[in-house]
Formats: sequence, C-alpha cells, structure tokens
Amino acid sequence: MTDKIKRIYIPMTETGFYILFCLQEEMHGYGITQKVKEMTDGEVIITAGTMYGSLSKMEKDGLIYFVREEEKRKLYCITELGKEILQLEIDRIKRVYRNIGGV
Amino acid sequence: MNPEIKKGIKLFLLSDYEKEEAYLTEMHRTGWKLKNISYGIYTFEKCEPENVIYRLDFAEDKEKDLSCYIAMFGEYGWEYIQDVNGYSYFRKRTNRLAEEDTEIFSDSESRLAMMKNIIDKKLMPVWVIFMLILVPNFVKVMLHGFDDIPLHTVLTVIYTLLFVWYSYILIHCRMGFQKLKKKYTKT
Repeated sequence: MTDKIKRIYIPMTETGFYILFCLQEEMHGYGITQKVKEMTDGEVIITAGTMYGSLSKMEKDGLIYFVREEEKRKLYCITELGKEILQLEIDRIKRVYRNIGGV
Repeated sequence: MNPEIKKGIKLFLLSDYEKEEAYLTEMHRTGWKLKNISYGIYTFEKCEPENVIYRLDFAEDKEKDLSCYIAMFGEYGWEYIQDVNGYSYFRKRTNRLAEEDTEIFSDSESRLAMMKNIIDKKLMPVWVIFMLILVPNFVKVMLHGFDDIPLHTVLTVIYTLLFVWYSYILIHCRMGFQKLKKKYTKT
C-alpha cells in the first residue's frame, strides 16, 4: 500500500468510512445513503454531491471499483486496497474506543 | 398560451457559485423559474412563486457518464437543468424538507474538494493566460508608449483592457475562494 493513500484516507471522514464500509458488498450511491441513514438512526446523511464526489475519488484512488451499470445506477465494490485501508481505520477506531473506556 | 418570459444578462465569476444559487432561488421565490442560460443570458419563465432551491455542483470527470450523474442526483430529488462552464445546475422543491435535503454537500471536505476542482480546472488556465500572454504584452505596449502608428494605439488599448479585466477576475476569485474556504473550514 502506498503511504500517500494512507496519508489521505487515515483518519477517515465519517462519510468516507461509511461509504467504504457499505461497499464491502456491491451497492450504488443512493443505496449507500439509505443504508447509512438506517445504520445511524438518521444521524449521518450523505447527500448527492458528496456521494458522487467521494465515489469518483475512491474509484480513482483504487479503493473501490466500478462493477456494472443497472438502470443508470453505477454499482461499486471495495478493492483489496480498500479493504486494507478500511481495516486500518477500524483498528484505529477500536483503539480510540478502548482508550475512552469502552471494551 | 405561452408563459411570460423575462431575459437578463448576468456575470457569473468562478467563485460566485453560492451567490448564483441564492439569486436563482430568489427569482423562483418571486415567480420566475429559470428556463435556460446561454452565453450569460438568463431566460426565466413566469410561474407560481414557490420555494425551490437551486444548487450548483462542479464534478470532475462527469462528462463520461453524464446520464448516470444526472440520474443519481435525480434519486436524491434533484432536477437537472443544464451545465454552464463546467457547473451543473440543479433545483428541488423545498416545502417541508429537512435541512439536509436542501444541500448537495453534507460535509466540509466535499465542499472544499469541489472548490479545489474549480480552482485547478478553471482558475488555473486564467492564471496561465494572464502570466504568459497578458503580462508580457502589457509590459511591451507600456514600454513602447503611444506613438503615431494607429495599430499600436489599438493594441495598447486592447491589452490594457484585457490586463485590467483579467486582474479583476483573478483578484475577485482569489478573495471569493478565500472567503468560502474560511466558511467551509469553520463549520
């Protein structure tokens, strides 16, 4: 993994984290927004421009790949590099959680 | 019966996209719906005054899948109007909408990323033209001064006007983007 990608993505924004987390299975942009809204009880809302920009950037950086198009919806999925980055971020969040007294 | 039409000319500089959004939203609120924009000429159609919010996006590389891009915004309830100079114009009826549904950006990182895109893709070329063409030519015509050759006078006037105009654009945009950056990093 390049250090540059690591530097850009870790720590991750909440938006970036949820998008990458959701893309462990194949999904499209609006579907991710709906799922994240549900997962966070409506606390995290990812809007259209933010979603499009994030997906384009992650695809360009090789964290996700374009799977196929379905009725004008582009489906994406996480790559090996994306999985590594996601795991690093999960470890980081777990460490934060431990240090604030969680288990 | 054809609806009543109103036309107007407006200058929209790169860093003024939030003002553009506010202007179009206000026009619609007072009963003038944007029909199209062509070479700085804004055409509005008379309509019922309504709360319709206008938003501008500047997405990199959307040309290759413009229809997917438009379809995606459509899923979030945004009606695509048209593209002008790389900016995509969208609108949405906002009665009884939660605040988050009236924005196309939900975090400051993506707002800043869009700004950076505009600067790299649109403002940089203006800089390059300014530094490589206008500055050297302006200096040249100034050094020559005015003489009796009409062509020289014409060139002097043209380069002076262009120099002033480009300087204005660059200063205006730099100040505008700085203000936006401050606003985005604060929230």
